[in-house]
Amino acid sequence: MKYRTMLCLIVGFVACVSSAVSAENVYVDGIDAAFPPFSFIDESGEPAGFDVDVIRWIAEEMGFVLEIVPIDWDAIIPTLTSGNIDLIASGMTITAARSERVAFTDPYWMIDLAVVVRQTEDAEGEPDPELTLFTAMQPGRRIGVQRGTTSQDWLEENVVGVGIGIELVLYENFLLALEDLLIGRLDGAVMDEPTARSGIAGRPLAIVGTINTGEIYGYAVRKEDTEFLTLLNEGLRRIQATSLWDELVAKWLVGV
Amino acid sequence: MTYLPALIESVPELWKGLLLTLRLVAVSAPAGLAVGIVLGLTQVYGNLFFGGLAAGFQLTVRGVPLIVQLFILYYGLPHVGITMTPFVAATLGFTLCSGAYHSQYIRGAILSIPDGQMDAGRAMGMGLLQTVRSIILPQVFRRALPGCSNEIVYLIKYSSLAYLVTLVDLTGQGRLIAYESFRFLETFFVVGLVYLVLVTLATSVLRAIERRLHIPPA
Amino acid sequence: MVWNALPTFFRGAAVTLALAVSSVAVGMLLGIPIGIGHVCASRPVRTMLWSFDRVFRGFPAIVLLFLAFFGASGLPGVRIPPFAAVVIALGLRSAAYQGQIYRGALAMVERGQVEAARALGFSMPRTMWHVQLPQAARFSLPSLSNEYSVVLKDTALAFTVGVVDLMSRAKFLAMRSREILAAYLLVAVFYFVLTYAGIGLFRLVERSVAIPGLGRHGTRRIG
Repeated sequence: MKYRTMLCLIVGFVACVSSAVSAENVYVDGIDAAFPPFSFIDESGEPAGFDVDVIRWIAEEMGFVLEIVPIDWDAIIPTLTSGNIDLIASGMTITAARSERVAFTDPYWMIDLAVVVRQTEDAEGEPDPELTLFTAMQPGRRIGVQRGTTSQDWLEENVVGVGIGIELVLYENFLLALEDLLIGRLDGAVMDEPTARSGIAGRPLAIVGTINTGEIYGYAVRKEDTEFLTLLNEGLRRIQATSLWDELVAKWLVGV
Repeated sequence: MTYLPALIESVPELWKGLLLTLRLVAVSAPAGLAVGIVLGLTQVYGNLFFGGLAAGFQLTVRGVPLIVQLFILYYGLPHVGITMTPFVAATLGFTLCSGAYHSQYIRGAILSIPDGQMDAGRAMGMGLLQTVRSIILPQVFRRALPGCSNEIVYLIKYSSLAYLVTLVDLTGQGRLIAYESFRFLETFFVVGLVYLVLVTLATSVLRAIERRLHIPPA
Repeated sequence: MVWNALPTFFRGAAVTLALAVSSVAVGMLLGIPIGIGHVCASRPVRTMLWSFDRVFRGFPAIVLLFLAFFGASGLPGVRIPPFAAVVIALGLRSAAYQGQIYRGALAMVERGQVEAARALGFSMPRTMWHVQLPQAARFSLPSLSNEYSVVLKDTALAFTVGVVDLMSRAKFLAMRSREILAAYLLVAVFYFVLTYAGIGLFRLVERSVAIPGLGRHGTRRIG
């Protein structure tokens, strides 16, 4: 019994220590595991998506070792500031509030928010969204968003905050909100537009409107990591000058 | 500490969360106990089929994490046509999980009562149900109480998982507040303290009940 | 698509098992002295232990996890990896529970034996080491197997701080394949097997150290 305990302790300690000891030049990228097409985990358990492909190219080009780790989105910034990850490359919108905590690279993409509702077929078999953008934002409607996102912020400020009594339901990720929308527990969901298009593919859902927030994405690093930030910006500049950038955009971001 | 004003501001939200937690516990605790009694009785006195079913159920529920059960109930079941509101899913999950554990305490308590009592009851012409109800059960309550109290305290703590099915309970509010204020340490410490207070209150009440029911040895 | 993900589930299961075993080990390492302390220590020490016990058995596991993981975010230069944060949080919690287990187990050792040992000239520490602990160890086994199953199920919370364990694998699969029910039923099976295999192992150990004829004196903590 004593030996077993010893063995367990050794295993435990080695595991802890090995994960604590970071090799030279290894940077850990925290991603949202369910945010297609920018970052997600595929069937074989590997990270995939536009941001994943781009950051991997940048890592190789600029000469650093990259490790990608999925993190719960609403805790991702403290995870960065506490040092558990070094970078967030996962469709993160640059906002004033966030800029107080972290440093962002140059913007690399722009999106709007989309409002998604269920869709049925009308008498002619034509797709027919159940609600319009207007009727979805009425008092009593249940609208789902992901915790810790600009969608949550926008709705809190511009709908709930001005007194329109929608019920804002918070999910761990947008895909779960879409699941509940399909089931009927929600009347609508709001999320970044590319994710909306990815999520509604092949399902009876429709985008009935976009909220033109014109949000820009950037990578986030800790404020004190100025060299790393310069490195990343240079990497972004380089990849955007290649044809690979257009290929990746075409692969992931156009007409999902 | 500059956190204090922020904390005071968030009291209304935390209070809302606390109320939801209390509602969840108020429903799940008695329901779980009831389920536990039924399961415990079935395992001891039931025939092979029902007894086996109860045993299998409790083994399964006790072998699978509560989060998985909650996810299956809330996100999984709709795929086979059973959809429930977040509150129902959460209370159902807590009740079943709690009930499975209660059933073990009840079962142990029943088994600890000498067979002679059951025999005596039957010999006097009382049916099984009547013997159980009048002779066995009252003693079972007293014996199972420590274990069952323990389980109720556990319930208060694992009700914190309700946020996983979109319910914004005390923990859920804590997360929101921490996200906005970026004060993770302080917020969760406060949240934890509130749970500690709840747990302490519950323990005191349950211990008082134990003392009231206690029969001193001859 | 669900079946293709099976290898990832095994990887996740390995992580989950490592988390559980490490946490129980930490709990044991700390819990044994705590249990002894509950019984033998001086008043001030016992009060400290009581406070530790209250906090770690009163806070929900998920709150402890968040505190351990984000606890360092205030301190510059200190970094706690997710795996370590989980082991610290669950380990300390287990230590509190195991402290109670060992305290109860020590109480089950017959007073007579302790008195006899003292009468024969054994000092307190020696009595503890040679007489009380070996027997208490045997009495604590049933409760320990229960503690293992509780810790194993609590590790399912580790995904909230970024550990890629069994639960994470299930979520990835559920989101990617949209087969939510299948993914979670599969992971339920995995946890079921891990739990009862572990309990079975404890049962084997119990049987191998049992002294025939010496009953368990009602040590069976139910459930």
